[in-house]
Amino acid sequence: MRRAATLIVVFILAWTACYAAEYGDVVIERKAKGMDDIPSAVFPHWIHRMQFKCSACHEETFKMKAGADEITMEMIQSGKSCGLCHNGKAAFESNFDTCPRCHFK
Amino acid sequence: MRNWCRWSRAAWAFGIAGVIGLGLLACTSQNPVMTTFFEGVPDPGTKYEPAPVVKEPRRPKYVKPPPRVTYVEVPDLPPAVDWKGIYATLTRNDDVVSWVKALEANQITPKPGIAPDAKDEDVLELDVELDSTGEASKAVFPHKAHTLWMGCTTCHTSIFEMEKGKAKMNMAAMGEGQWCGVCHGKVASPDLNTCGACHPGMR
Repeated sequence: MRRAATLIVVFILAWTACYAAEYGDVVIERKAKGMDDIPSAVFPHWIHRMQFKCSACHEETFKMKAGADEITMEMIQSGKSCGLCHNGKAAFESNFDTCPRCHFK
Repeated sequence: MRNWCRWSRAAWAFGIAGVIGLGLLACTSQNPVMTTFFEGVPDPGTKYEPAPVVKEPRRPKYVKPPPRVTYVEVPDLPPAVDWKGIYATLTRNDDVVSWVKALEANQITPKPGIAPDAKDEDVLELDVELDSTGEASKAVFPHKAHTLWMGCTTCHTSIFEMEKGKAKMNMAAMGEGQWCGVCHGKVASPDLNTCGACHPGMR
């Protein structure tokens, strides 16, 4: 069990380390003060638009301009913003295991 | 002390009476006692053939255990898709994915909405020729490629009015993120450096 957990962590680290920036990635700038040791979240457009058309999220959930929407972890965990899908059912949940899937450098 | 002696004597008497009784029983024709002790012993003159002794093996025979049933966890999430692998195979133009071509070739099947019953909006096949406002030749806006991905309200009227010619567009403003530059140059392909995609007269 412990070995499996380590493997998963190593895999996630390797995955994030291997991630090459793609055209359309949005780095969500941190507006809150403090917590600078956590890297800003990156929204990869490419994997989302492979599964959804633009109108699925724009502009009902997100505006067409980066930084125009308020996104907080509280909102995500209460099922708003990214949490509309990232709730553990439609897509991976935002919890302490999945931090580096969005917050990576 | 005296009492104990009496019980001891009685026990002795009972024991001796038992031994005499057993001896008398052994002398009877039925021989119940003798048969108890000497059963199976052959009569004199006959050959002794002992019954074969079947011994239990000292160690139980090794039986290969059935393969261990591994517990398969049924995940709530749909099966993992190799999105990275699919992404690498999409149709590209100068390393940038041609999303409309990929969609038309059914390389991807993006859903029109988050809700499972979301429906595609109608595709509008209307090419709008935009008159030249500057040095560049006139541009053509294909509605079809855009309505494949979006609905009318995505652009109208927050970015573009419904009437043609109302937007005084130029490439510099687009580079700063206005008009077409809201998407093209940020997420949408082709980016603003691919002149010929919009300006048919240009390479």
